[in-house]
Amino acid sequence: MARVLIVDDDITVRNTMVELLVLFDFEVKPVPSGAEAIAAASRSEFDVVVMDINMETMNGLETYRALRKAGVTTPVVVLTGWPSSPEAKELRSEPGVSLLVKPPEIDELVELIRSAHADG
Amino acid sequence: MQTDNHPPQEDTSRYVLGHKLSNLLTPVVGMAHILSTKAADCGNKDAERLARTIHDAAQVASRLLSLFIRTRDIETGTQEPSKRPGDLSLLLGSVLHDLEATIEDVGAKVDLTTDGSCRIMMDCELLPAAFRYLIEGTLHDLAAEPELSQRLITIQVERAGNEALVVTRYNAGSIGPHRLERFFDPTGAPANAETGRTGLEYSYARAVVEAHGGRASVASPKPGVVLVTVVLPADEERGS
Repeated sequence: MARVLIVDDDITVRNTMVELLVLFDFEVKPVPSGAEAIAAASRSEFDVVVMDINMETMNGLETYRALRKAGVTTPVVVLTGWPSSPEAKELRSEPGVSLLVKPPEIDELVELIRSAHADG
Repeated sequence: MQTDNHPPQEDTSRYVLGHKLSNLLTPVVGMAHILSTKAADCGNKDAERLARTIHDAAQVASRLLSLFIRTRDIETGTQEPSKRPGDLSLLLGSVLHDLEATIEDVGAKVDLTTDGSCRIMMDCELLPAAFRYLIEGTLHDLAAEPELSQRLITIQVERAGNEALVVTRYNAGSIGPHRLERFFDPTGAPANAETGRTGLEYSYARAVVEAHGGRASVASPKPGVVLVTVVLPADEERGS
């Protein structure tokens, strides 16, 4: 069973992602900020991080950099409603990062999580 | 207040709108997916159908938003094509290859003819997307014609002087003069949750073609026949 860390500061999006991914038998841990994502990823292992970019306190790019600095090499799926933003463009070129536009095609998101789990 | 020392700020309102709306649409799409799955598990066909309709409509709304932003990015020059030499015939062959399943679903036959290599300067992401939208549009128009005995699309790529031409010809009797007039207009076609079309595909394609220094036009040389012509500057340095 794939373990997924959801990082989004929007509670409705976060809760929806949890309900949705549980439906596909994934084990899901939701957190509302980049700081909590780093703490969670340092404590437990995840197969994939599904993360928003535009978050208030620490954006997705900053969170990604902090995760990598902390030695967390987990694949990251970035969800964004602004795919042409500078942060999205920079993240797109990073290794281990896939970018999906919000709202994602569910099948595509599930496939990315499954392949990350299989590769891990 | 704007002063002479500061360049005008780029209008980012469309991105802000896109970000906010996509955050609202994400739960709609997700919840509709959950509902349709649970309704299917319970054997409730009506609830499943309704949930799928909500899901599909929200996805089209999302694509519409994205396509609107991408079109405006190109029209305003926020995103300029990165022009690299490429072969137009190969590009179209690749687009048709990607669309094989759709072509088969529609029951169409597509003939691509070229008079050899046709080199242009192109953005390898934007231009294929533009031609994909154009050809998908013709397939969509053909699919809407249940009476047609033969669904044929011919695409001709040729060099004419210092220009490269892509002429797409297909038979679609229901496209009248009014529709032709607004063919590339964003208001020319409605968004449709059932087909997944946003109605902005052609205007995006035209914006991309124009950003490449080209032009796109549509005509009906005789009733029931539609001719979509894209003209792009040929790559003079490399010839054809």
